[in-house]
Amino acid sequence: MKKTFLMVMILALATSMAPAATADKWLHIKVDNTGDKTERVRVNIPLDLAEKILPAINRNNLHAGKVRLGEAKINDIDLRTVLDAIRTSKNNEFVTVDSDRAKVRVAKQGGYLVVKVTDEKHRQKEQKVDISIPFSVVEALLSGDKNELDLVGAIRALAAHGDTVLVTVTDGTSNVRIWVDSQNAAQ
Amino acid sequence: MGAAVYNAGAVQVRVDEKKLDGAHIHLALPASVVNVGLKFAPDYQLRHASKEVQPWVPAIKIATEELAKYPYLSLVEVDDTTDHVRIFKHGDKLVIDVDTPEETVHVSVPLSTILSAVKKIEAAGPGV
Repeated sequence: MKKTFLMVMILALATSMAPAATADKWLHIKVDNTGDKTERVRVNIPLDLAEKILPAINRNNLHAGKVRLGEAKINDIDLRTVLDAIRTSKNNEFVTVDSDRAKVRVAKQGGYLVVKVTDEKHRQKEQKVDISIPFSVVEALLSGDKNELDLVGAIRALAAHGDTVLVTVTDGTSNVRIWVDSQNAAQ
Repeated sequence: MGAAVYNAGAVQVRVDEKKLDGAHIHLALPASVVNVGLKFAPDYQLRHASKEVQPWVPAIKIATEELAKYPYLSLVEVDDTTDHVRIFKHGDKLVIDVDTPEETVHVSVPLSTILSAVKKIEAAGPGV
């Protein structure tokens, strides 16, 4: 009896230590506009699905799960130059980039690439963009050639990271939220 | 039970116009009808469709295989002041529901039918 009890205990302990199955991760996009045209958008995509479909799409600049960018510039800001500066900067040290249209502050904080954008041209609307991407995802995104973004690599890194809010955008009438979690519907 | 079996493999299309004396179209076609219908489509139209769909076939195949893993999946919901759109996967079907002031539209297609149709259109391409 004692031996059986011991065997059962060992089995129970071994079973409880077995790694839990990796839960599916979902990308959620939530848009709420309350301006002149009220609009509500909800998109839910399993990251697993995105990871498998992207390499199968070969159109325009998207090939084998990678996007080729001409000069990797967004709003006249050279993306790679900014990210290289962040990569070598200290934690919580912001790099500020001013363009004609917006003030962009970028920093590394607690393992995240943090981007805060203030739209300078529309002060009355006070548009704010907060982007917070795990640095492991950024590294994966930039792991390919100089002028391409590895979307599949980024999705894998995102799925491995855990639940996180990626983007929030707020202005007077709009709220946008993009996040990853294990729920199969937007909460 | 016969009705349940029939509906399980059927492509369902419902269009209801909301105006007075509006049209009401309700179709429930066995999935096999879609494949038979493709056989009767003119060759030039099938070749054109094949050319358009070719770049997307690998992605569609993967999408239908992956979507089959989820018993229910809400993909897209869009609502504004007048229009409402839902795209979701329910059971083995991809469902699209649209509600506008003018009409409601419901389309429900088994994923297997989508895959089968895409393969047939792909096969109709030039040189095949």
